[in-house]
Amino acid sequence: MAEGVQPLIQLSDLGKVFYTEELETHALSGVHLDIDRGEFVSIAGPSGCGKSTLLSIIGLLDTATAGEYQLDGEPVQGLSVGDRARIRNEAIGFIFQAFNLIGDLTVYENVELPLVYRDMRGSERKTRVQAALERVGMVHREKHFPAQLSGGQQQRVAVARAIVGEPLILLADEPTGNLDSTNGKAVMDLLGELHDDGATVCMVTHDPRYADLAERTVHLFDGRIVDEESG
Amino acid sequence: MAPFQFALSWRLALRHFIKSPASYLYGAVALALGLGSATLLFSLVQGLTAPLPVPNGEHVLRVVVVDPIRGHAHVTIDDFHAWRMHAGSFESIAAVAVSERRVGTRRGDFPARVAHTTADMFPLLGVEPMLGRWPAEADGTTIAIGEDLWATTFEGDPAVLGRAVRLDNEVAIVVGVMPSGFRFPRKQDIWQVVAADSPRLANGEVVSRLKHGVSRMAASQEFTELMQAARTDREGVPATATARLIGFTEERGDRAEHAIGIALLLVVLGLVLLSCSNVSALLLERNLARTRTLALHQALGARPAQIALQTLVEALLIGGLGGILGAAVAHVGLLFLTTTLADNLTYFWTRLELDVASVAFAGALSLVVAVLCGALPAWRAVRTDAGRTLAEQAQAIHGSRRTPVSWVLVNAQMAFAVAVVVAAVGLATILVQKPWEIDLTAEFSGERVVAAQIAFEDDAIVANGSRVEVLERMLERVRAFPGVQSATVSMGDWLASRARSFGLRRVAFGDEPFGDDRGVPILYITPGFIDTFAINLVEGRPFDARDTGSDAGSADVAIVTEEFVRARLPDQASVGRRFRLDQGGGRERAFRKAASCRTWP
Repeated sequence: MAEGVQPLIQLSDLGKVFYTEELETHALSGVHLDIDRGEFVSIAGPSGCGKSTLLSIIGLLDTATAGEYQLDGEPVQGLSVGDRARIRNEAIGFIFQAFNLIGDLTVYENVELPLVYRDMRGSERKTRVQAALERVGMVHREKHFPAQLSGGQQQRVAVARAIVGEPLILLADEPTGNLDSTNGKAVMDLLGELHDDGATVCMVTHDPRYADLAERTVHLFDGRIVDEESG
Repeated sequence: MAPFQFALSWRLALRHFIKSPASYLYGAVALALGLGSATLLFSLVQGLTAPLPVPNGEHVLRVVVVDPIRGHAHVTIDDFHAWRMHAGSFESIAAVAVSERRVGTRRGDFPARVAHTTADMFPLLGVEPMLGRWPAEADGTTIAIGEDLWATTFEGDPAVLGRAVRLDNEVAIVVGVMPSGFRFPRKQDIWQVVAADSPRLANGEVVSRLKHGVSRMAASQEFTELMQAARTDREGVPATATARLIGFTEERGDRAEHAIGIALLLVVLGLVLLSCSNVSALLLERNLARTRTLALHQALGARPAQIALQTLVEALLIGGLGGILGAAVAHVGLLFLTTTLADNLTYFWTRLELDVASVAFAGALSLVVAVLCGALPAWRAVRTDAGRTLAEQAQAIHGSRRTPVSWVLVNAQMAFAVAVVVAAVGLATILVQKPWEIDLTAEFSGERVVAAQIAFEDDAIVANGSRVEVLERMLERVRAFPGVQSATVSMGDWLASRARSFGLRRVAFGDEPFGDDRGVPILYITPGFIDTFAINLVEGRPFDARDTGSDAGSADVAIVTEEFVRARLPDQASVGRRFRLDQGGGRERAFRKAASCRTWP
């Protein structure tokens, strides 16, 4: 991290406890993590170690029960539901393992969705959607529905949806988990290209091949960061 | 929220609908039952309370007289003259009475409903004849006919003007044809002008058009004061009856009407709520099945209002479909009621139909119901835990499918809703038919009983008080007809009119004072009444010739119902008991009870 530059993501002593009936589950404990602008960080670890929970908290889909979280220098703990939604819409792009495209919307409409929630004008939406689809090579499929696409194509559309709003960070949760190796590699190549163009990427993965593509890998075990290594 | 977000929500909802229409239609049918019965009720009230369709019809009011003891009472010709001469709150005032006459033309005889009015009725109403002029001659020699009669009996011949027709034994000249649909005051075919003091106006109605700016209350007050002053002068005792000005379709509802109306309202309200809960459950179930999609929308930055909008739009789609189906249900119900109740619709302008107001009501109610249905599912959708939901990789959401028990419950609700709709239509029918008012003959052995209404229109008979003699002669002649076993006369139009129009009199036994109750209905009859209707007496004897005399000092006799005995003489011998009737104005009449009967004449 460059001296004096504010990290994009700054987690300090972050903890997350789930309360179910009489049981307390400590999903995360004492997590300290900084992610700089333009960095490609992967989070690795065995199942149930808290990777997805950490990603949910970074993506403002969940809140920590302890510690502090600053996004782009602003504390995001205690924000209202509406403010968290606005920040998610403007600053964060999600890529999921299961693609999570909306089956009733076309490829174009799926990619357009974050911009619709941003109240953006139609002409600007169109320009951005076209650019995002071109970026992932899916313009020719814009009128198709997700069910008409292969898994690899769906994930490319999901990447287009994640980048269309020009977010501060891309959060990818096992983006290759549902893909064969060829499609998985294609998606990872795409993420690599986005990173090369300046995107900040934080990716959760089991797969050591893809974890190694990141500049830095954070290893989680039982909710704690146990190791960090630079690629 | 930007319009394109509404567009997106509608697009999604319509695609869901096209993909799986069954669940939407199921919800729409559930709502249609509630919305349909509510719209039916609205249209019914609209139709039955529509004002007189003449220019500024809301200012044209009936004058009714209310006796504090007997309830509704007749307006007398003297009352009419008092108001006409001295009241200042109206622009014009007129009287009208109706009768049925046989009309004789060159083509034959047929019955027709005739309105006898004072000459100022037509200017008061502000309705111009379609052809010719208003009849103006107070001797009854000119008439106007209705457009329907003109088109059918006179085949739309413009030369009908000036043609002579026979009304019973009179001859009148047709001078005008009234516009299509005009059948004032109820369903009349012919209008004949009579003098303001004509006996034909007895038992008629007084109609007035209020001056602008004069309230009903002020006018009623003025009419009451004038009427009471005139009656007090005439009768020598203080008059207590009051006059009220009301619209033609504003009836004074009695308890039974109110009870049925409230029951109907509650049934419809319950049905709407039941439909709402059904659709709400449907939407909740849909949202449960797509929790992951809702979470995804949140992850992409949808604000709570935007998440809620999607569910509300789906509720609106179901509500809209339900509203359309509901309007169809109401339309069918109204057609059924119109067909069934045609004879019970008193006024010529009463239309039980799905008009613009009814459609607007259905639309507005659909909107409200849709928002109500969607509110809870929308709130639950907003509260979706996006982080946890998206962390679950499995696409299938367990528990989203309906269990057999759930299906049974929902279908039971639907069956109940259908039953409630049928009950609502039944109650509406009862409300309009008012069987408790007119179906008195159901208590009697009505087979082979023929009834006729008698009206005295010969001024001489009315003037010299010889009505009793005329009736006795008539009864003798009727009894002499072959096949007639017995004949009777009752005072008042009791077979055709409403129970509450019977005279109400307070009753007291011995020397006890009269109570504060409204009294009991009294019917004056001739001795043959009990035989004619084959009424079973519980005890005592029927009337006979002994009871028709007018010996000084002898008490009148009465037959009372078992219900009356149970209420007023519990566990006491009733035959032979004497009681007094309050005749109003401080006058009393003594009676001796001759019998108790099982049924109520």
